[in-house]
Amino acid sequence: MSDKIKPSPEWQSAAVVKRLHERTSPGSPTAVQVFLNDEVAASDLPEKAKEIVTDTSASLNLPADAIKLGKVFRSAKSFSVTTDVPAVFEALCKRDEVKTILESEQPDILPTPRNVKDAF
Amino acid sequence: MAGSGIEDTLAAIGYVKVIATLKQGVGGAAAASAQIEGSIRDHFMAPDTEQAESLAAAATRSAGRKFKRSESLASRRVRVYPYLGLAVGEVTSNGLASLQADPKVDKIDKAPELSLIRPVDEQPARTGAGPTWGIRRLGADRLWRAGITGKGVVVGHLDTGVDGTHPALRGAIAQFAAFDLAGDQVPNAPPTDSGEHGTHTAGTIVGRPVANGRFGIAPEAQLASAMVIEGGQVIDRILGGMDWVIGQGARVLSMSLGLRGFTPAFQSVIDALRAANVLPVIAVGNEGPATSRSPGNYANVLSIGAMDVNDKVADFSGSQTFNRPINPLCPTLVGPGVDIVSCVPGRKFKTMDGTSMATPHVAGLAALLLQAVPTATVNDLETAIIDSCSLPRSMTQARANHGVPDAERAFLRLTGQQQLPSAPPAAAVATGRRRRPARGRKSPASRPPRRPAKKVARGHRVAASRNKGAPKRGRRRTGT
Repeated sequence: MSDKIKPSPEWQSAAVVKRLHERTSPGSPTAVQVFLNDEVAASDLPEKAKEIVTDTSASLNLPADAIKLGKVFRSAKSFSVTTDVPAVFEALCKRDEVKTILESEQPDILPTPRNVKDAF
Repeated sequence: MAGSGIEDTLAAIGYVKVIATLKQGVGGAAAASAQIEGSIRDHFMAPDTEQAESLAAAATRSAGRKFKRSESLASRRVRVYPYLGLAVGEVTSNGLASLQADPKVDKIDKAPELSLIRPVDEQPARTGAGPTWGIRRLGADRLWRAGITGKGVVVGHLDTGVDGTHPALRGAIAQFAAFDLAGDQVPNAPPTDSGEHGTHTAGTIVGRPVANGRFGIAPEAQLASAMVIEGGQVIDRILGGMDWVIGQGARVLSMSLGLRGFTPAFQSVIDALRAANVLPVIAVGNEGPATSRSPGNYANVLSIGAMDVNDKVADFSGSQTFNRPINPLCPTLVGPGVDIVSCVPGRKFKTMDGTSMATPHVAGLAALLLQAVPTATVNDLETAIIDSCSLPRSMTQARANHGVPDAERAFLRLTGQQQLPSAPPAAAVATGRRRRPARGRKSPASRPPRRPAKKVARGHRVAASRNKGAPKRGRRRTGT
C-alpha cells in the first residue's frame, strides 16, 4: 500500500481539464484553483504562483493578460487563475510543482440534508 | 483489455468492481452458470461484505420489502449471467491480471456504481423541553451538570452562513465573515445565512436554550462562522474561510461540506489547520456505503458519519476503505445525524438528517473538552474523543469505525481525572496558538493510555480495548 493515493477518476487532472475544455472558450473565461505540491514552501508561494503563470503564458505565446492570477492561499498552497484559453489548463497540469487543479465553481460541495421538516 | 476507470479505482481504493464479458460459446445455458462460476471465482475477491451488506440492507429498508437472495454476500465472489455472457465481481490488481489472462474472458469493464434514492420519511418531528436525543446520546448533558458548557471556547464553522438574529444564537457568534468571488473577506458583513444549512449546524454546536428545548451541544461556546457556500467560486471562498478560521482563535473547525470522492487538493490546508492546533471535524458525506467526500475522507481529520436514535448507522451515511496504511477507513466515528432538531433562519426550527448534522455534534463535544483543558493539543483532543468511543453491537466497524463518542469518558481521558468535577472549572481562554503543558508535565492525553475498561455498558464495545485486537484498518494514527 502506498502513502499517497490517487484521486478519484473525476478529480484526476485529465478529467478536470476535459471538463474545463468543454466550458472555456474565447470570451467565456473559467476560474480554477491550482494546488501545489508539499515541497513548495508556503513563504515562496506568491513568487512561485507568478512564476508559473508567467512561464505558462510564455510557453503558449499568450499576451500578458491572458491568464489572470487571483488570490494566493498560503495555508492551502494554492492560487486561483482565470483564463479563456483552454490550453492553459493542460500546461498548468504539466508543471512539476502542480499537485492538482480544481474548477473554482463546484455545484455539489454541500451534502444535501435529508428529511427536512419543520419542528416545534 | 481492461476498460477505462479500472486502474484509477484500483489505485485509489485497492479493488474495483468489474463486468467481465465472456467469449462467445462460454455460457449460454443456466446449467452452465455454476460451472463457469466455479472456474473463474478465484480471480475475484471476497467482497467488502460489511459495506455490501449495509448497502443491501439499506435497499431492503428503502423498498420496504426483502429481496430474495440465494446465498450470503460473503460466500459469493462472482455472479455469472449465462445468457448475457457476463460475470460480475470485485477484483484486486492481481485478480484483474489473472482475469485478463483467462481464455474464457473477452473484455473487462468497470461496473457502474449505484447509489440509493431514499424515500421521504413523513414521521412527525419529536419535540420536548429537555436536551435532544443527540445531546443525551453523547452524554454532553452530564458535562453541563459539571459546569462544562464550552464557555470561552471558539469553534470555527464554515457553511452557508448563520442567522445571527435567531433567538437560539444570541451571543453565540463571536466573529462572522463572508467572502467575495476572489476569496477576499467582505468588510462588516452581518451574520446572515444564504440558505438554512449553516444556521442549523451552528445551532447544534452552540445553540442557546430556548423554550422548546436544548439542541446546542456547547451552549456557552461561540462561533467564528464564515459564509462560504452560495454558488460561484466556492473553492476560493472555502480556502479563504479556512485561512480566516486559523486567525480567529478557533480550536475546532466544523465543516459539513466536501467534494464527492477523493481529491488530495485540501491536504495542505488540513495540515496547516492541525499545525495551528485546530481540530478539523468534517462530514464524510451522505451517499451511503462505499462512498465518501473530501476532505472528510482524509487520514488526518476527524471524519464523521451519522447514526440514528436506535444506535444504527444511517443508510445514507458514507463509509469507505482506502488503500493507505494510516487510518484507511472513514468515517472515524459516528454521531447523532437522524431526526436532528435545530434552528433555521426566520426564528424557526427544523429537523434534518445528514452527516452534516452529526459533524457539529462532535465539534460541540470538542468545544466542551477544550473548556476543561484549554491547553490540550489537537492530538490530545482527537485521541480523547476516539478513545471514548464504543461500538454498539448494532453497528459494524466498516460503517461506524470506532463507534460513538462519550463525553464523560472523553473528559476523564483528557483530564486524567477519575470522575467529573462537582464544581464548574475555570473558563478557558480561547487561543489559536498551541500551548504545551509545562516542561516535564505531559497533558493527560499525551500519556500512555491507561488499561482500558473491558466493558462500559451491556452491548457496547469500548474503542480502546477493541482496538487492541482490532483489524488494522480501523486503527488510527495521526499527526499534524
